[in-house]
Amino acid sequence: MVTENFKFIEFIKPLIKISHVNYSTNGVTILEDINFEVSKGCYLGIIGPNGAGKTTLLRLILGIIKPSKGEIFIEGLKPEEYLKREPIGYLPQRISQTIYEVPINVEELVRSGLEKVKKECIDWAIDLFKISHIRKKSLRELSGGERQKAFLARAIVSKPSILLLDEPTTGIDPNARDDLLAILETLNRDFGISILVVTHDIATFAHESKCILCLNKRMVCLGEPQRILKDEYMKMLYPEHTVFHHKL
Amino acid sequence: MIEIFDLNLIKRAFIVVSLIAPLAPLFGVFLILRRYAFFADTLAHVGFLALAISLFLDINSLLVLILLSMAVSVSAEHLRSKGKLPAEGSLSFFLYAGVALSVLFITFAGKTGSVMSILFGSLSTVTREDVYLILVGSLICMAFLLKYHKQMLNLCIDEELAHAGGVRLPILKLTFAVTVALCISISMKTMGALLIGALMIIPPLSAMQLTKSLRSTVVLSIVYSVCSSYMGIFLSYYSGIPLGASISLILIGIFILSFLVKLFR
Repeated sequence: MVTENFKFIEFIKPLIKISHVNYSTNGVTILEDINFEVSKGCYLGIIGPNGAGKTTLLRLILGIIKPSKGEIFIEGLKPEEYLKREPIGYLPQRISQTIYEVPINVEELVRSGLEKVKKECIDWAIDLFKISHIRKKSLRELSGGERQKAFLARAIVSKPSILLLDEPTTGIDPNARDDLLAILETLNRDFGISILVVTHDIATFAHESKCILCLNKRMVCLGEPQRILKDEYMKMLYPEHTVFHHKL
Repeated sequence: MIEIFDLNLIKRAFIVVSLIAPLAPLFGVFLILRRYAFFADTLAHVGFLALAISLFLDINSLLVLILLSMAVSVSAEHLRSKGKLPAEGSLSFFLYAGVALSVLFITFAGKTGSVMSILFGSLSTVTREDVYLILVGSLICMAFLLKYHKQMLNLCIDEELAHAGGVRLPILKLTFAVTVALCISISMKTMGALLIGALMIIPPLSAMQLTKSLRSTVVLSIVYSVCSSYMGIFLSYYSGIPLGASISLILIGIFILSFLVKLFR
């Protein structure tokens, strides 16, 4: 178990600072002593087994839930204060099924991600995910992968500084996954959007992300993929697993 | 045909439905999106209690209606948000409590004859003062929808997405609960306690059978609601069927037609 304070320095100013955060609910500890910083322009992959607290970490960063102990700052502000200033692009793991029972089309969904409607932003987000051909289609008519792209387009339409994605490759085919990875790279490199991705798709994101955080209720390790994705760390995360296929 | 428009009660009925008919389905769309259609029914039954209390105490019923509906609406939303009671469970509790207490007050008021107009609406129960209150209430509801419709849509799509977008959920949910209660209260005398939910829910439900976008759903449900309300006034006047029931029957006809069109196109 790695115990030193983690500090991933890419630029100078920390974008997100997570300071000795614990989170418990109903007497069960979900996260314990999470302590790290990420900087502007980061591309962080968060990996770990089921129940490791990955989604909880994203929800803490968003301020949806509050830490039991410790503090979280985004650009020096508490999450709720930061959200008053700027939205955070977010793709949750699951979307309520109700939305697929009513006629909302792709363009309306993407538009809902903007406070003030700017047609050029909507067109940009829709074109980026190559979903122009379905922009007038109702969500209930779409496949799982198309819905995922529509929600991703919604997440980035306001060109947020921070993008949090929870299992973004779920339900999309390998071609669409490659497209998604290329788009995320563009958003990170060309638009300077900081990206935090929760994923089980270690092999894919090992190539894409600049940094990997291994989580299993506590922080197991944090660093560049080349350093982190070694069998010794992977065995800590997935002790039942013996063969790892994430060669860099 | 001309003499019907000379009657003050018909004029008032037209003014009132012109105010509430476009408004009710707009709230209905959000209630359906939030899987909260039952909310309208609960508030309507609480409205039944408010009208029964007004009969018992012989005071302005619309004011009691607005205050009681808002109190229950806020309480139900609070219980739902805090997870203290299952959403459906808390709504059922208020619904049955509303009905049981209503019967109690009506029995003691000794005015059981008024029950029909409370339950099913009436052309004649809306007073001149009520029209002014309904006008103010509908303006407040419209202002809420104009200001918060986008935030409401985000709330309906997914609460966590709305939160990430900077929507202040507790305030929005509370304001929505209050304005839904207001909308139901101002519509209650016309539509009746048992049928106000029909004006809120059936128009969007019918529109959804035929549309592929939220915008067209909203527009079509307002058209359905306004048309059936105007036709309902004529049906009620000439047939003697209570106004709420007349409007609801036309709405049900529209739903069946929309459903069949969807089935066979």
